[in-house]
Amino acid sequence: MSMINNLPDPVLATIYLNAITIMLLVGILVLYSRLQMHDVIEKRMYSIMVWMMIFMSMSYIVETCLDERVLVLAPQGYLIEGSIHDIYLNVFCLTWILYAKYRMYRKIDYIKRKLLVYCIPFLTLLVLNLLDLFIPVFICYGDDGLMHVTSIYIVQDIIRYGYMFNTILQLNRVKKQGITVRFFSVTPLLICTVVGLVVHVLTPSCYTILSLGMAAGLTLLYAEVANEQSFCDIDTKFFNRSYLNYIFELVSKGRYSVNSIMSFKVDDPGKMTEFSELLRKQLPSECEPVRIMQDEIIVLSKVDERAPLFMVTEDVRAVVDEYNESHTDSPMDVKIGTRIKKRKERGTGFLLKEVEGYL
Amino acid sequence: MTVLNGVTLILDIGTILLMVGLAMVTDDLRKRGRDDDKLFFYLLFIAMLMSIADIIGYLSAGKIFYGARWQQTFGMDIFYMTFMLESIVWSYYTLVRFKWRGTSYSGGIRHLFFYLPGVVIMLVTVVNFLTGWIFSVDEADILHPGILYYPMYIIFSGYFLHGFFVIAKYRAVAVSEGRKRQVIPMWIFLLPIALGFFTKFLLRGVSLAAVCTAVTIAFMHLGSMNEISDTSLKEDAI
Repeated sequence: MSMINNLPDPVLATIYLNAITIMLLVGILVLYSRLQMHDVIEKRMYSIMVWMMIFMSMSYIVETCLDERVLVLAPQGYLIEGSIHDIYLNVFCLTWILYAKYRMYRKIDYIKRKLLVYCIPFLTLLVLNLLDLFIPVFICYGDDGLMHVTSIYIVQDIIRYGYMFNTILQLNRVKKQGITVRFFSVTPLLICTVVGLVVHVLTPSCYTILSLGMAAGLTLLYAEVANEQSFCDIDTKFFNRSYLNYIFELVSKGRYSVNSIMSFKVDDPGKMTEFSELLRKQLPSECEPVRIMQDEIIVLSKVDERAPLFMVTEDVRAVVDEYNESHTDSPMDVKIGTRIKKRKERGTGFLLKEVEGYL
Repeated sequence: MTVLNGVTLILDIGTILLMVGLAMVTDDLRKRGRDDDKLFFYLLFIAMLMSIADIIGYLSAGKIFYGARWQQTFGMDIFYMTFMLESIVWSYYTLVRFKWRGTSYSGGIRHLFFYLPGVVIMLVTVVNFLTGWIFSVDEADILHPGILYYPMYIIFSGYFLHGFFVIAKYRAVAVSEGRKRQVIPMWIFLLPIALGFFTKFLLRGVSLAAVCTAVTIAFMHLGSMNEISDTSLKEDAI
């Protein structure tokens, strides 16, 4: 213990901050590996980001030890350490961009098609990071026996952080368009990362702030993913049964009211994704669609009159007919039902009575 | 301000950010109006207060302006009070959240007696700057433990351990029912708190209490969400 206590303050400070960051990230990694996710690709991408952040935190400790001369290496050792650190950060940013794009489109084909476009700036940076070992591009070994950054290092920062923030903002904008991702927001990640980056820029000697801020941001991102995972159905992008239980609790406490229910039963469960796309366009924004069975979706609504409900169901019927006309070889058969709360039906009784047959 | 004080400041600000973020993330869940959701919010809020009190204490440590020592003592009093309150709420939260067989959280008088020592210590910390029963700070900024300093640590360690015991029992029941993957591994909770205590007693410089508590709370929430996610997948069978 005395050896640690005798370390210079900046080294001790970095060790403290990185120990917390690494502890947080290792915990996140373990918990995330236990999260039951539909989407394996998203899970892998998130895990890569957490691993990169762990490696970066370790690299920050080594970097501070080198700066404070607690650890002394040959000049090549300094350059290797600096290059590896930049490579970690670049791989993290690239993975984030792919993760965000994947979340926006949910199509691996799209990512494969655009992979080169996203990768070219980062591949260039990675090549330059490797070149750093031989030619001073972003980092160099100074006469004072320490590693320094060159004047064009800022270009690297602008490229990686520019891309990263751009995709965070894009993801924030896209998520507002979908009703199913009500439980997912990237705002907490954005706040933590921005605060981390601002403090990092204002106090360049304190390396660790960025990784601590990003670790907090990744923690909150996981919380958002877990929210979405818990309450959304991945195929239809509608809510799932857990969400229905959540609505039951809200209704029973008088915090939410359901006055009518529409039900849509599709003959072929394989067509649910297509049907959900058709249904989404016809539903008013205040409606809450819930997938409660393989082949059945119910829509909870506050509407307490028959006419607007009838109009919605007619619109759905029309788009299904239109679909069947263009897909004569594989038409879909949809059974539609509606139910409106009567005046005497109070509390959760209406909802319970209507839904208990399905559950 | 020394570098290590700066680290404390950064960690406390990080704690506040994390807690604010978690409060935002759990906003929808809180609408359910459940007791455990309310208690979870109190845990977040108290962790924020802990960090603020820690910041006040550290910012005024070693300063020579008028009232600096009083401000430092006051900050530390509030810090210890919130830490004790956090341990009580944590213990009660685990009882409410993890209702394993044979346990009732509405214990009434029994729980009143269980939490009485903690409440007494909290009241003593409020008037500590007058009595010095918990601790006092001298002219050279050195902390001197009072008569109740070590009992205070024992009591709040007891409440934290009680919470872990409840979770361990819940986990044992869940594992016996074949729900092992759903429940949170115990070391995820114990590691942050153990690290916080370890550094507090053995190393110089920074207080990790607030940030370690925040990390534990974050793990707690994420573990709970894992459980809901797992259950929802099985229930849906979609």
